[in-house]
Amino acid sequence: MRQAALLLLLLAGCAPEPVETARIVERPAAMEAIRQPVAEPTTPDDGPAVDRFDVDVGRFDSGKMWTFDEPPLDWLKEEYGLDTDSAWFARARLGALRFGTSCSASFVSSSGLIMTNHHCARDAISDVTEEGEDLLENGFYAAASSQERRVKDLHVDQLLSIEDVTASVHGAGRAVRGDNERVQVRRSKADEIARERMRVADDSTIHVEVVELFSGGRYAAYTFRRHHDIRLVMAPEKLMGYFGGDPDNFTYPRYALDVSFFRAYHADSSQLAIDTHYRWSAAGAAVGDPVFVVGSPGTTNRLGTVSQLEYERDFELPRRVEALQRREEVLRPFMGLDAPQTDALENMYFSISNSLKALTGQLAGLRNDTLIAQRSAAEYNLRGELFKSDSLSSRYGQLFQDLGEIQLSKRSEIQRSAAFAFLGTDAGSRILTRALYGYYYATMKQRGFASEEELEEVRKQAMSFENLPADVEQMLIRVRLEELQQSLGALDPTLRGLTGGESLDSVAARLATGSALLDSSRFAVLLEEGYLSSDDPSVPVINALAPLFFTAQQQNQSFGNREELLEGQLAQARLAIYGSSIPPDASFSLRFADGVVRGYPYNGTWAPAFTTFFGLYDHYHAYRDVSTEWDLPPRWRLPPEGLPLSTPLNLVSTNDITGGNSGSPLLNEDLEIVGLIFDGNIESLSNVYLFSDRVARAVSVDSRAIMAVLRHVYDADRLVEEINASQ
Amino acid sequence: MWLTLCVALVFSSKVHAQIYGSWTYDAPPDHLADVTWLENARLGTLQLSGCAAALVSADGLAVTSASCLRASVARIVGDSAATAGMYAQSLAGEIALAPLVARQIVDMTDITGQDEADHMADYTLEYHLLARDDSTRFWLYAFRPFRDVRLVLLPSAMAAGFGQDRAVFPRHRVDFAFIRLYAPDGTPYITENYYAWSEARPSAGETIYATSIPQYTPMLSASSVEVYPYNGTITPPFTTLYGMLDLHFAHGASGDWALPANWLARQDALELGAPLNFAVAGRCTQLGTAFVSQDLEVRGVAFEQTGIGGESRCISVAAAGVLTVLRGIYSADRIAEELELQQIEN
Repeated sequence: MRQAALLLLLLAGCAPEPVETARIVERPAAMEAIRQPVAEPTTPDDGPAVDRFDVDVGRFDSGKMWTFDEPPLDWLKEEYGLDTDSAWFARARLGALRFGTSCSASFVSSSGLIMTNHHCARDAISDVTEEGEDLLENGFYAAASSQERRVKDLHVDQLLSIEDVTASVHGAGRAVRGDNERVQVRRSKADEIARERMRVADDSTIHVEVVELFSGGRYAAYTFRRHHDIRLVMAPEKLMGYFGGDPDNFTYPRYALDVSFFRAYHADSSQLAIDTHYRWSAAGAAVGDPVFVVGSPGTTNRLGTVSQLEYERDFELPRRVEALQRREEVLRPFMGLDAPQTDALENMYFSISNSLKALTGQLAGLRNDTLIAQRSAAEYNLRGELFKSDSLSSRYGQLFQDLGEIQLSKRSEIQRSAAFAFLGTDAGSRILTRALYGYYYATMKQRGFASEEELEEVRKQAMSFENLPADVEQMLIRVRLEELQQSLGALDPTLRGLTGGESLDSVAARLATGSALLDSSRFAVLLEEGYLSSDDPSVPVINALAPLFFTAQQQNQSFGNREELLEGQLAQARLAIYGSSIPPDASFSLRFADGVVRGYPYNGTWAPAFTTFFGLYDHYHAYRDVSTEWDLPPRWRLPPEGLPLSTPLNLVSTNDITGGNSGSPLLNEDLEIVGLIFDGNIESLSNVYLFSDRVARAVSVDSRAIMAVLRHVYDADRLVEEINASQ
Repeated sequence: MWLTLCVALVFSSKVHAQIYGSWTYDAPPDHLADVTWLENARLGTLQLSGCAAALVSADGLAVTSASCLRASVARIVGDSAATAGMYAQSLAGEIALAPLVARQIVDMTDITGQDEADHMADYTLEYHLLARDDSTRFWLYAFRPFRDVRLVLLPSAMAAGFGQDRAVFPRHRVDFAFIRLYAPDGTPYITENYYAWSEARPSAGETIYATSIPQYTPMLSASSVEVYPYNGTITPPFTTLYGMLDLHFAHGASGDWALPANWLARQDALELGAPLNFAVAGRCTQLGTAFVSQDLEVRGVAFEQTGIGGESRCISVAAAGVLTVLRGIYSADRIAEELELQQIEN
C-alpha cells in the first residue's frame, strides 16, 4: 500500500516528499545565518515579469480556511445574505470528523454512520480483509450491523471545544535563548498542556491537542471526542473509487465514486445515539449555490514572505523536481515490461510521477507572472502599515530582512543538501535507503538513548520498502552518486573515500550485485547480527555518507526552527494590523471554507459544474483499448438496472481546500450534505501559495450519486433507510 | 497501464516519423508507391466546393462534413429547414443541390514533351495542366464533374455543432452529411471506386491516410490517431455518444449543450459506447476529407482543425458512430445498410 500511503500524503499537502520520512531531509537547521553574498539563481524566471504595481491584492489571497473560534459571520451575511450564529457553527463543527491521521470525514446518521473517501479507507479495507478475500478490488458491504468489521488502530476525532493557550506556551519559551531550544521548550509546553487537560478530564474518549497556528504565532487547545471503535460498513470497488487512476488524479472533469462508510461504536460496542450528524440533501446542489466544506486541511504556505517563496521557486522546488525526474527516467524503460518486481517498480514510478504532477503544478503557479507579484503587493502593504507605528516598526520591522537572510543561508547550503534529496525514502535505491536505516538503527542502539519501542519503530520502517531488481538498483545508485559528485565536487574527500578511486559505474555495479541489502529478508538478518560490523559492501559507503547526511539535516532543522520563530512574529505583526480577518495557514486542524458551485473555463471550452454517470461510461469505452485505469468492475460494465445515468456524479465548487480535506462533507446553507470532497483540479495546485477561485476548484462526489448507487447498485437498503430516517 | 501506451506511442512515432507527411499524387513516397492502392485512394475522393467528400458505395453515395453542405442546402430549402436538418427517406426523395458540383480526378498523366491536346479527347471531362519540377515536367489531370448532386442526410445544426465551442478536443459532434452523385440520366452514378465503411474503433497510434484535392492538385497524407497529454491527464483515442449525453445533462440540459428532444427520446436505440470523435495529428488538409485505413476503409471524416497556438490536430467524426446515429436517431436504415452492403439493397 505504499502507493496509497503516498497518495494520502500528497492529498495531505505533503506532496513535496514521496514519503513522510523525506520531511526530515527537507527541513532542518540551526547555525547562525551565514551572511555572505550568494550567486543569484540562474533560472530564467528570476524576477517577475509583472510587478506588484500591476496587480491587486485580493481580499482572500490568504485563503478561506476559517477556524471555528473566529467564524466568518459577517462575511457569510455580506456574500450570501446568510444569517448564521454560534449555534449554526456548532452544528457545522460537530458533524465533522478527523479520520485517522490524514483525512476528514463526517457523521451522516444518528447511529454514528461515518462517510469518508474510498482513498482514505484503503488501509482500513486492507486491514479487515480476510483470507481468500480481495475487498479492495471487489468492494465490501455489511448487510447487517453484525457484519461490520472493526478496523485496527483507527480512530475518528470530533472537535468539542477550542481554547487559546498562546500566552502560556509563549510564556514558557520567553526566557529561553537559542532558536532550537526555544522551539523545543514551546513544543514541550504544548504537550504538557494537552496531557494535563486529558489527565483532568479522566475520560478515555477525550483527546486534547495543542494546535500550532500561524507558525506558532498562536497556540490553541483543541479538545476532541475520540472514537476508537470504528468499523467498516461499505466500500465500492477500487476501480469505482479511483476511476481514472493516476492519470486523472488532480484533474476534473471526473467520474469517481470515491466514497466509503464506517460506523463509530461506544467502547462497550453499543451503538451511538447522536443528533450532531449532518442531514442528507436528497436534492443536491445547483450551479450558483453557496456550499461549505468542514474538514482538516493539511498544509498551505500563504503567509510567509516573498523571499521564502522565491527560495521555494528558484531552489527548493526545482531541486525536488529534478531529483524526481532523474529517477522517473531510470524507471520509465521498465514500465509495461513483464520484469521481476514489476509491481514494486510500477508503484514507485506512479508515486514519483504523481509527486511530479503535484510539484510541477505548484512550481508553475510560482512561476506564473502574477502570483509572486500579488504576494509582493500584500507584503508591501503590510510593511507600509507597520512603519506607520513606531512601536510596531521597532518590534517587527527587522523581520523581513531576517527571513530574507535565512533564505540566503539556505541557498548556500542547498548545494550540499541537494545530494541527499529523497535519500531514505522509497523514491530511490532501496540498498542505500536500507543502509541509511541500518546506520541509524545501529547508532541509536549503540548510544543507548532509544527505547525498545523506538528501535522497533525504526526497524519496522526499515523493513517496509519493497525490493527492486538489481539492474534498477544499479541505475538508481548511479544517479545518487552522480548527484553527490555534482554537489560535493569530484575531489571531495568523502566522495573519494566512498569510491576508493573506482568509477561511479563500478561502485554502483558492485553495490547492486554484491550487497545483501538488495533483499529485505537478508537485510533483516544483517540488522539483527550487526549491520555496521558486517562486511557488506554498502557499509563503507554509508559510513562515509551518513554523517554528511545527518549534518545537513541538522542544519536544515536549525534553519527551519529559526524560520518558524520569525514566521510566528510575522503573524503577530499581521494580527496587530489586520486583526483576525486573515485565517491561519492549514495545519491539519478543523476549518470551515465557504464557496459556490461553479464550472470554469478549461481546454478552450467550459468545464461544467457537474458530471454524470453518462460520462463514466464515456470514459470507460473511450480508454478501454489503451489503459486499465478507466476499467469498470464486472457489475458496472453494463449500466445497472434502475440507475438513471443522468444522475450527477461529481461536482466542482470554489471552496478553499487542500490535502487533508479528503473526505470532508460539502454542505448547503442548511448544513445538509450535498457532496463529498475528494480532490482538487490541476489548476488548484498553486493554491498552496495563494488562494484563487478563478479556475481552481474543489472536486466532490455528488450526494445524489451516493444515494443512487447505494440504492440501485449495492442494494444497501439498510444504509439508505438509516440515512433517510436520520433527517 | 496507460503508461505502457505512452511508451508505445513515443516509440511508434519515432519509427513512423518518416512515413507521416503529405505528398502530391504525382510524387508519392517510396513506401506508398503501390500504383493500384494509389489509384483506389484517389478515385474514392471527390472535390466538393472547397471541401472534400468520399464515395462510400457502388451507387454513388458519398460522405462529407455537415459544414460543407449547410449553405448549399439552405439555398434550396431555406435556412430554418437546413438548420433543423433533413433526411430523404427514399431514393426518390433525395433533394437536388444544383448548382453544387462534385469532381473526381479520373486520370493523371505525365505528358512532358507531348502535346496535351492528344490527351484531351473526352469532352465530358475537364482537363487541367500542371507544371512540376520548375516547369520541366507537365502533368495533365482529368476531372469528371458531377452536376447532379443530391442531399441524402444532413444532421441538425445543433447535433453537428454540439457545444458550439471551437477548436477543442475532446469533442462530441455528429458532424457528417451524405450526398449521392447522379448520372446525367438521373439514375444513381454507378462506380467501382469507393471506400468501404469501417465499424472498428479507432486505435491510438493507428496510421491513417487522407486524400484531398485542394486547388485542383490531389494530395495524399499519412498521419495517426493521437493520444496526447491534456488537462493533467491524457486524451482518449476517441470520445463516445455517452459523452454527448453526459455534456447535455452536465450543462443542465439547456443552452449550447442541449440535445434535440429526439436524441433524448431515442437514446436507447443508440450504441452509446460507439466512438464519436477522434483527433488526428497534424492539420486537416480539407474539411470533409475521409480518414481511411491502410485497407482503404473509412475510419472517420474530418470536420474541424484544432490547436490554435499549439500542436495542430484534425478532429473527425468516427465512422462507427455515424452508423449507430443513422439507425438510432434518423431511422436511416436504408443508408446504414447501403454502407454495410456497399451498394443499394436490391
